[in-house]
Amino acid sequence: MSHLPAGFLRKIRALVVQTTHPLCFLLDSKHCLKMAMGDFTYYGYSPCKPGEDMGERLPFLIALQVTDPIVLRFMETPNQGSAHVHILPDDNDNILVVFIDANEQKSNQAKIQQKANELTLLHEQQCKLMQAMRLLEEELEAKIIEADEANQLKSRFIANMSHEFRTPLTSILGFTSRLKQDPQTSLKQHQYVAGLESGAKHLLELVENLLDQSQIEAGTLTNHPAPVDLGNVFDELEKEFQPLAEDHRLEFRVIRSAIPDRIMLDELRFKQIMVNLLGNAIKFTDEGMVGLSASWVDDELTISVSDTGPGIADIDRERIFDAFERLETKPGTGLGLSIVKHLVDAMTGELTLDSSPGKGSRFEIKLPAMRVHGADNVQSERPIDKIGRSSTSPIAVTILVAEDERCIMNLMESVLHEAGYKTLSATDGHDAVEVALKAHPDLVLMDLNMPKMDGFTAIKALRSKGFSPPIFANSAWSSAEHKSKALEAGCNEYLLKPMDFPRLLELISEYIGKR
Amino acid sequence: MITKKVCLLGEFAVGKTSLADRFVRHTFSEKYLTTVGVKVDTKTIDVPGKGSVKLVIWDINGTDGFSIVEKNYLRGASGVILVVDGTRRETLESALKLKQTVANILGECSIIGLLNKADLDSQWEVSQADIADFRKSGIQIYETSAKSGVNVNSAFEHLAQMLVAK
Repeated sequence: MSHLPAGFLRKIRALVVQTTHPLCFLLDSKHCLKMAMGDFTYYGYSPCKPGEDMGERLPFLIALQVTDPIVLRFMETPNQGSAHVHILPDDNDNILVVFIDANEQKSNQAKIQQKANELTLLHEQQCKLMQAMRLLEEELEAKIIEADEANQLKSRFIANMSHEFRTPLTSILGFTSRLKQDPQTSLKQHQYVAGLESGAKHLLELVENLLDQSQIEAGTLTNHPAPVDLGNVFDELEKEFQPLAEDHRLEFRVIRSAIPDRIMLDELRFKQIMVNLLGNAIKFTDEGMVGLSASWVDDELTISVSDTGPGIADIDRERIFDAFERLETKPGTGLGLSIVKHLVDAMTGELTLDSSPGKGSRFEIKLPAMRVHGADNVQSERPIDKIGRSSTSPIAVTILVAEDERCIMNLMESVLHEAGYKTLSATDGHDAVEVALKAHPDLVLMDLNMPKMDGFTAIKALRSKGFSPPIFANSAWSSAEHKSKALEAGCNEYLLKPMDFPRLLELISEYIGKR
Repeated sequence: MITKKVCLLGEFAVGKTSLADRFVRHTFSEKYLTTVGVKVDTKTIDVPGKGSVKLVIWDINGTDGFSIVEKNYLRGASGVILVVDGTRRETLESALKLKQTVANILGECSIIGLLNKADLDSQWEVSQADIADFRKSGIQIYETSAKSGVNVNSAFEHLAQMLVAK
């Protein structure tokens, strides 16, 4: 094998020296310099002379047990450069130290390592943030569930309270009504009874509003359209608010222009809207009139309630529709208009207000609704006389009253007896089924909330055993769900407590007349 | 004068270089610059009853999932400072692994633990239970901040005392 030419070797050596800047020096066992080759200053050291103690300049040698060759890779040099330091012991306790330039290598490695570390840190932070977010989401979900449960609990509580309030109010309003009709009641007693009735009705209104508000807050306010006899609804409204307007010395004008007899509408919700708007109009108007008008155009029912009251300032126009907001002039819960707005929204309708101070107010509601075709003239087949009795003699009619509240039972029996009906009684669902199947009454008035067996079950049991006479459910539960459940069980009518006795008698006549 | 070699070990970005800078030069920089290889510094301190002790401090590049501590860097060390970033719990686990590596390479040696970045206490991830576990492994723990300087000198001084007491 031939050797490379000497000139070529010199060039290679020069190239290696140029690129690696080797610094070699020999130290004795006490780290004193024996000899050196290369440039100390390239690595940031001052020039050294043989015999000089290098221990201070080369602290990395301290405590380094050099028994075999060592390489310290990427050692930082005094001028912040970098070198690979080779330390080689010999047999005479000398140490040969060789510095090889690693600046470029270190610079490249530092760039890569810096990026990699920064990315790892970012990734770690991202993972922690995501974990924190997941925890927050879980916490939020738990809080939402907790809030929902609390809300449902509150709604159930209010619904139960509403039911519990309605039951005694049925007695109060029922007996008040009986007293009003009693010819023996004196003028002074009439005044007391009127006060009693007004207070009880106000209490009922508060209970209803609170129940609605809780349903709005729980998001359970629902719209259940069903065929509604609009004429009847307006008759009832007129009957309820005409005397109230008269009490306030107000004129009550009702204009119905060509509205269909029957349309698809949630009757309960619609009545709530009207009761709130008309009640407010009468409450806030000191003189003049309150008007109710209804019109029907292109499958849209337009209702307007107007008054000659004080009007509403621009500044109050928005807030009067907020819950618990009310104008200072009259007492109230401040829920009425908020409920109206939510009910109109639930019925996909539109509510507008036209009002200015001193010029009265006009609330207009537009409700999309479908006309019920072919049923425009649905009326009872037998005429009903003015006091709500059919031409059939009521003496021959027996009505079973199923009611666990003694007081309400007495009240209902009193009303029915006065109207000329015979009654049977049952104080729980079991009893009601037994009596009905044994005595075959012509009609059953069934309370839904009774001990031993509830009214829903009793109605189902009767229908399953072929009991065909009409059954009217009467209940203090005001929700559409209860009404649907009762109708599904097989009742013919759902009457809400406190009972509207004239309406009850009308319905009895109507159903008995059909038989 | 007594001279002792001390190595700073820990995962990357826990603050080893910052702790050395704070102890040796009383400086601190917020900017994170990774250490490639090793930096060697010295500082002489007084140890009560023992006189001056020169600490030769080896600031060794941090470990990660891929790199390991070079044995040559540890050769001849009398003491080791394990550094943990208090805001990154995983660095505590790395420190415990390093403790084992040190034991394998150096055998018996004086070790202290620094829970660094005490100034970021709101982001602290290492719990008191973790610290108690760390202590159970026989290591004296200091909560330090290279940024504020809190406990940095105390920790190095304590290690120096341990080294000269042997």
